[in-house]
Amino acid sequence: MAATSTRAQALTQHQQARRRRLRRGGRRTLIAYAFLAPALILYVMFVVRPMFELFGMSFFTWNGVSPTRDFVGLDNFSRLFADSLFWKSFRNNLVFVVLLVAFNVIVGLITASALARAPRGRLLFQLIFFLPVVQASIVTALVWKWIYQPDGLLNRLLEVVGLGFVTRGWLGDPDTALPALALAAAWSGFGLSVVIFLAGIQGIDQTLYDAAKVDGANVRQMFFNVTVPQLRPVVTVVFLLEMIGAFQTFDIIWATTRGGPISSTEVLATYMFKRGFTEAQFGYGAAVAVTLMIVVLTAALVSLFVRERNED
Amino acid sequence: MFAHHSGRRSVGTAATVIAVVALALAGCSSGGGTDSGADEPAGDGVINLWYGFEPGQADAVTELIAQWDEDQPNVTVEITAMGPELNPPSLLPALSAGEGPDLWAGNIGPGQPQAFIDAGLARDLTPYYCDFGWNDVIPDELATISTSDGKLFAIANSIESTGMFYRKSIFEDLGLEVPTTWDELTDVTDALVDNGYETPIGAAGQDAWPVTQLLGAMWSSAVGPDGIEKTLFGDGTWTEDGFQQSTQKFADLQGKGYFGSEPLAYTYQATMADFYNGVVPMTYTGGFVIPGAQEDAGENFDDIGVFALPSVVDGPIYANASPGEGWYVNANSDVADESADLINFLFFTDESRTKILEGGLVPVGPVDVTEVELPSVLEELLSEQDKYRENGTVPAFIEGLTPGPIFDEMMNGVQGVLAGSTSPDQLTQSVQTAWETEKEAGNTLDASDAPQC
Repeated sequence: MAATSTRAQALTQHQQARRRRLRRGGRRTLIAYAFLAPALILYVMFVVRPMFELFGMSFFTWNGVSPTRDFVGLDNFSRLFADSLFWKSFRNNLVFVVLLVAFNVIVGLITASALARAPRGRLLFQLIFFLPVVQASIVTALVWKWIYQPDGLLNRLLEVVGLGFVTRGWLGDPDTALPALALAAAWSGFGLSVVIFLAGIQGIDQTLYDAAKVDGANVRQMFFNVTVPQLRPVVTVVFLLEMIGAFQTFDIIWATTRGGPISSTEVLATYMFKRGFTEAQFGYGAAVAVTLMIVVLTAALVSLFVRERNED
Repeated sequence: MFAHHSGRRSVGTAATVIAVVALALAGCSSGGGTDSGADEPAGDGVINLWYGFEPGQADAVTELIAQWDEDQPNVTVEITAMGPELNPPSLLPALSAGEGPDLWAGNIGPGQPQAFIDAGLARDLTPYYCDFGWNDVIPDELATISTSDGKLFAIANSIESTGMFYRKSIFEDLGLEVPTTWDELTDVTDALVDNGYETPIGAAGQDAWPVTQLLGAMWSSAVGPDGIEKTLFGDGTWTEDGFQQSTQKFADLQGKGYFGSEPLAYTYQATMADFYNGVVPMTYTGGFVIPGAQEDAGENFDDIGVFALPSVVDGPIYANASPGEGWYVNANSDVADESADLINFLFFTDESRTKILEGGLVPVGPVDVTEVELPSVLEELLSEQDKYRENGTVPAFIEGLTPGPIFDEMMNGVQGVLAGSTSPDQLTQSVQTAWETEKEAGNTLDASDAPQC
């Protein structure tokens, strides 16, 4: 009887302790949600809701100011997929993304790796590389517009080094305008890649390099066999950031070429802006924006999936 | 203010009617106003004004606004000055959110302006038009462009014309005469090339719109006022002979290297700088450049001359004119009467019109230029227009009468021709295709009537 009573007492104590834990846990959860709520509310208001509205708008024709919108179903999308300028913008966007991401990931990683080994001046170089990141994008655009002018800095330099025969108006030539702008955009984001990679490299266990040295590895072998594999998660982050940024590029193109010459620098963001804001075709512009969002989301998911699979 | 650039002289007759836009859009018929709003302005308030002029273009207007502001005890004008590129996209979200300005200066014509009107965001200015007597000043042909459903929605601040701007001293040094036929123009251009001018005609191909305005002028020159009217409001097409021939002549200019070796490499700003510095002896542009040029060209301003583009088909030379910025009043503004009063002061009082003219813009309607100190190049531009006005008037800016995609296609096509990747046929065909699409969507300008008082 006593044993039963003791057991029952112990059970009750256990239950009470469990309840207390649960209550404490519930309170913690509530506090966590309370802290999250403001950000969540703002996120829903300014990201999720506009996203749904954008989706909705893509099924209508609307001039941006009229109180009425006409439902057209998937007409905007079918028109979009038959629009040669859309496909040209899409192709340009892909080329732009590839050039920009390749530059900032590959050159950024090599630069960060070199900086990590630099005995001194690391901070100074970091600062120099990072300056364009904090510079207003319109300033970056104007600087590069000046550099690329027929009598600009680039052509003058080329003449000085005996390459006068390749000089041209870089932004006026349909063959060079897009790569030239990709380089300018890469330059403005390059510093961020370097800083992220450098932070990643500094987090790599030094003993791995020591072991590689003992095994007789040279600098190149250490880079490919230690640095790169250890930085894979960081590379994924930089890749994603650069890719999303490149897909969304607007300001540097708008401030320099406005998509020209002959639409050779037209990308989805500039195309969307033209259709929506300058031609008052908001439904069609929304269809371009939705397509851009789907493309970016798909590319991001694919790269994350590839990364997860490689890690497995 | 502009004494060193100007000469006191008469252009044509004592009172020259500058603003006859003989587009023959339509006759005048029905109309009607709402309640009169042209009473004396009353009440306290702030007029938020947005405009998108080029730098220097609105100096005279801005000074006049300050003057009007000082005389109004109960009203203040707050100006938000944006460039021409920012104003249109900023207006859309602002007005649709019910925020926007009380008064704004923007494009006139189909596209975005029509969207504002259709959405009921622009106030019907017909009562002011009638009560203030603006109808006595604005030619019907011009009023129709900013009229929708018999109601007037915008007042143009100026009439603008285009022409071939050239450096007089270069012509004089080389013994060149101002050309009046197409062959003479090509002879002059050849002579300039022979004398070392690598870019005899500045194209500003990177920005596309300046050289596209030249193509537009060549089209108008080839088909004349009737051809333009037929295409805009009738069953004409952009692929008809006149358009084809003139586009081919445009391509020939490029083929002969008259736009220089890299026309696509130069922006409008760079081209105008080269023009003011005498590197480029000719460039096709409009009167809108004059206010800013007085400062930008410095002592070379008086060396700038202008001549009408010779006919590309050995036909008559036409005058050209298009409205400048249109001034709209927000339908929901609580200072609408005050805004209309400001418009009246700016563009319909003798003192203001004279000041605007002296500043380099030509106000709409009859202007007495006998007692006005005009910038010298503006005198020449007006004189050239007067010379050919009896042959008819064509639009100076086709983009002001067509939906946005048409000018986009023109600019893309022009850049393609300059790059050698687009043929003249492809250019006109792509414009026609875009035109058919826009026409089908109901986005083209309707032949309208001027409002009736």
